[in-house]
Amino acid sequence: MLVFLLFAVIVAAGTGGELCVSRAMKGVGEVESFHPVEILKITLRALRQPWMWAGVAMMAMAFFALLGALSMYNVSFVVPVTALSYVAGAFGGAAFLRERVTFWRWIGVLLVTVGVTLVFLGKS
Amino acid sequence: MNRSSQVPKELILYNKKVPAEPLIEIGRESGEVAHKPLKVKTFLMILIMVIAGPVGNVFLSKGMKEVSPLTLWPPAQVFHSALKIFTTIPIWLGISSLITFFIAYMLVLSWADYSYVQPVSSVAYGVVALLGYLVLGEKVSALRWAGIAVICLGVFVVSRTGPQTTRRKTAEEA
Repeated sequence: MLVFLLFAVIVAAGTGGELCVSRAMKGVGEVESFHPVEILKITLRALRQPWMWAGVAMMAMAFFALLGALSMYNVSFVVPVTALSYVAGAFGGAAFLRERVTFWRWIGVLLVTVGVTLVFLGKS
Repeated sequence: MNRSSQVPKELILYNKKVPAEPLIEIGRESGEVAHKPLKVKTFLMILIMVIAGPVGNVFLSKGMKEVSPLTLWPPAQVFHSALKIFTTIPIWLGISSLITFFIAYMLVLSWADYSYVQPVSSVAYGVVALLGYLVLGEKVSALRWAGIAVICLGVFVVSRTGPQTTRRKTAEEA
């Protein structure tokens, strides 16, 4: 039961957090320069986005759940299982960020998910 | 009076009046010009992500194995366990690695679609299994390697769709 709870938090909070961060970064605009001063300015601008804070809080939750899972299982088991977030990610990108997910991108996401399932089944 | 609706006939440049030229927009809209550097930039950021991410996870795994078993009950033990976790060197190496990953991730998300970046960065699953096998001595079965191959196929399919499809009207499904 604890296992399912941990993975549910890793996937839900992780994907939710990434979507929030992605939304915040879209508000910041495209990063054009990698000069340290520019990076600092962008960081400060990113920290003013409420979505960034929501995202960071959710990702922190996912991080502690990941630490918990890693204390019990192999890294080559834990990390592939977290790939359940691919399904959540593609749906979330389409619904929450209004990104246009093309047919081939859906096929790719499906293949990745099948591969991850095989990795999971191949638990030795 | 609405100032922004007025088009100036002349501009003042270094205290000299010069005739105003219409601005020509270059880049973005003309597709090919902006597309190539965008792809190189995206590739570099994703490369950093798929190396720093798995390295971070392997360090975290190593660190957590060192400190486990952890007790979370009674609640006073949570503090004790947290102290134990955050005084372990591999945990900090893992966190630094994941911060590097996170910065590259945030930068790439400022111009590329999430639904493109996330599947493409899944090549990291292969890297994680490889590192788990080589560094931590985890057993990786044939079925698991087959799964990683299917993941890479999925990555290839996704990477052919281009990093930024949302703002364009036509899909570039080659």
